[in-house]
Amino acid sequence: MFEQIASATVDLLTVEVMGYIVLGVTIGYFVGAMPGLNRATALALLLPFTFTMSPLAAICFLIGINKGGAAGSAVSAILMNVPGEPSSVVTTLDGYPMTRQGKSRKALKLALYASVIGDILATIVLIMLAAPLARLAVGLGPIELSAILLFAMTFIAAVSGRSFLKGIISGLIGLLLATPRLDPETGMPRLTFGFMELYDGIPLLAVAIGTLALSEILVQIDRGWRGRYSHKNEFLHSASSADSRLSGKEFLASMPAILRGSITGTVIGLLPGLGASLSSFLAYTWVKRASKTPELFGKGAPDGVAAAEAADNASVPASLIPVFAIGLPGSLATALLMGGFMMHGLTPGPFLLRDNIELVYAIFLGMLAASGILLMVGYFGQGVFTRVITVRDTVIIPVIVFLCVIGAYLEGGGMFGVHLMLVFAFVGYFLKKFDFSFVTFLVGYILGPMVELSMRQAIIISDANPMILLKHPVAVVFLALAVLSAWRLSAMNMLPKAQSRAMKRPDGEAQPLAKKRDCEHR
Amino acid sequence: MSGTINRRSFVAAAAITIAGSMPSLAQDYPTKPITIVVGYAAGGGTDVSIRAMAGPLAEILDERVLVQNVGGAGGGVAAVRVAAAEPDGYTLLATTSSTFSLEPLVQQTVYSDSDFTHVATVVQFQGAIFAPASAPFDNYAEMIAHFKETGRTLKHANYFQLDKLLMDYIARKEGIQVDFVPVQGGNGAVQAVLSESVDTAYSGGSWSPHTQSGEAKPIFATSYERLVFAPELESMKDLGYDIGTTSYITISVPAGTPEDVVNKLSDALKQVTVDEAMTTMGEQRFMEVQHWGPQETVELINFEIESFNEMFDATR
Repeated sequence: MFEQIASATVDLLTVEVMGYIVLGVTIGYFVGAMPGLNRATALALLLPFTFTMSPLAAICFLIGINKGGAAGSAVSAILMNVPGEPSSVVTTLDGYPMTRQGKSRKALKLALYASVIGDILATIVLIMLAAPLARLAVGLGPIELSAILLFAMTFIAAVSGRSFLKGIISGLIGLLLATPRLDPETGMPRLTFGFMELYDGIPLLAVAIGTLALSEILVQIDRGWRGRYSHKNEFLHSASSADSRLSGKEFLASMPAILRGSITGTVIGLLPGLGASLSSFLAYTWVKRASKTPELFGKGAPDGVAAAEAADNASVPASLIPVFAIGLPGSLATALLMGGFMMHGLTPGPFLLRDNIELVYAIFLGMLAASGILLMVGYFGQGVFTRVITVRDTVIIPVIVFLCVIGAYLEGGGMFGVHLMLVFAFVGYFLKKFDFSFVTFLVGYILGPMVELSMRQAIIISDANPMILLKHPVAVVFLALAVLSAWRLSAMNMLPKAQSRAMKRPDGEAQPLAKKRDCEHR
Repeated sequence: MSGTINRRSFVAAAAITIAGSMPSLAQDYPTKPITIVVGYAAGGGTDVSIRAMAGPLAEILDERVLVQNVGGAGGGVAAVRVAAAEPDGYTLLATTSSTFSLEPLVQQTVYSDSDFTHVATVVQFQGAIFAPASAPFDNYAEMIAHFKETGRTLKHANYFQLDKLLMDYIARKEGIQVDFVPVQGGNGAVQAVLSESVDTAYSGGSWSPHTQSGEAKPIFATSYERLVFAPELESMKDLGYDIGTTSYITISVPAGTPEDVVNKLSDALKQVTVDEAMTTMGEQRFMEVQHWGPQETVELINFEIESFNEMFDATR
């Protein structure tokens, strides 16, 4: 085995392969940081170009793009409240408030470290436990998945912000928007109003870009009209040096959140079909519930950023576990990656390890190298972006809008996607103005189709006979957890005492704690 | 008469000169880049095959070949787009044959088979029905017997209309009940089988790695003739049916494209498909890379249309 690892290392440490890893991570990072472009698009566009590369270089390149994208998406989420990808929505919740407190550099550093750690941990899990874990993941049928998803949906209550009712409403709006598509069973269009482009559902990216990115721009335009526009450079210039650094103590204090995020990201990312958005959302909720200061979440709690980013990045290698072990991709990005494998004559699955073991070792080493390179690229990228952000808004915002239009066009089916994005920009604007939660909207929208599909599958498989649960203990466990969680979380949000406790601490309260830590450090 | 130019030969000579100086489409074509619109998302079986062919095709035709992905509606969205394009041979549609033979039957498509001129068929998928390794049957006869004896309903993972029609048809002919479990794409079907949530599923070829690893087993081929890569499987003909369905990757152009352009494209594609790199890729992805010309493609699609129509009528 050692000689195989040794020769794999030799294969890896060539200019071609390492060069492509650096290129891939860099492209991924910048694509992730740009709102409107996301890594699935980048993968689809760059996949054909890998044709001429060697298999190792091509695969490491594509994996690098994936990793870079997951980390880069935090940048615009934190600096501009505009998530680079749907999975970074959760990062905006605490990342942007931190920027408004002048702590943007701190947040960025924390996000980067959390991303890299999550990434490395999940990669190690992939390398060591791919086969048994994949077996476990695939053994989960629709009945178990339905239970897990129902459990996840109860978490909506935890992130609904100040008003539980508003959270539910926006979650239901999200669910409603998930209904137009081809009906899974009959294949007949449902609520598509004659638009063929809606046959696969309302394109997620058009909705996400519209509600998250463009709506934020509308909000800023609105503020500008009312004369209340606060230029973001004020935030950056008023930052004290303490707010720009991430001290060792602060980093260690966020370590539990990072680890929780990594675990969540690995577990959820592993299950086919669930995706990175769900993992960051669940990690955030878990960390918030476990925190001693849950009321700080949403106002600039570093743990929120750390957990979300660790989960987001951990789900990338984790989603490759079923690909490597069985040859089953669980999301669009992994399907594209698998396409890349096959383009180079490799069939992912149990035989890959048997027939191409040196290549597989080389790929694993390449993934670890990419994690390290991610750290360097991230550092460099942040420096670039914080400087870019100081450019006048009159230049930046049109560029952002332009990128959003491109993203919506590419992924949303042409101009249809662009029109959709504009519609949702206004929807998002009103959601923000009336203080409806975004996260629950997106959760409803993303989870909706998954829940519908798995529940319908479960009903058909079981012939609508609840007795089948007796054969699926895992599902019973999750259903019990779902009931428990729904009760606990909604009680927390709806009891008057809990509500007023959450309302009492204004924004300023977040600062003293942080400053205290800094004093001690000095 | 010898040596002198009389009126007849002058007219003949003039006619030939004029005819020869008129722009001949096939000789000039192509003069600008060609776009192939693929009816499925990037990274999938259809897409990867077409992208693999785009390079060699560009070399043979000495023009750039661009590949665009327009997924949705089983190739329908791409079909609509190409049907409306100029019939000059610069916009091609690469999709599965079911887009022409099946979709118009089960959906209200705005296009129909007659909106297109078919250029060639380049790949045949190896469609088969497969089941979890633990299934209590190994072939078609045992499968039917099992469900008849136990009276259970056969749960079939379904994402494609093709296998839904087929299984429905078979069920009615054999007198067993079938229920369809909706899944997302071929991968969803594989997952349903691997998690033993369903009794059977259909796949155009991605079943092979899983049957090789012993996680699943193929039951029978859905094509009329036996499959090239799995000749040991019984095909529909063996089972006594006069219909069969599998899927092909077809290349088409809008109807009205000049015949010489179509022929030139078909010949170029033929050269691409016999290339060794192509056949190797086909073997690895478990797809039969072959070339069927315009006329044969029309026959293939017509056979599919007949098969689907028969199945459709029987299951109404």
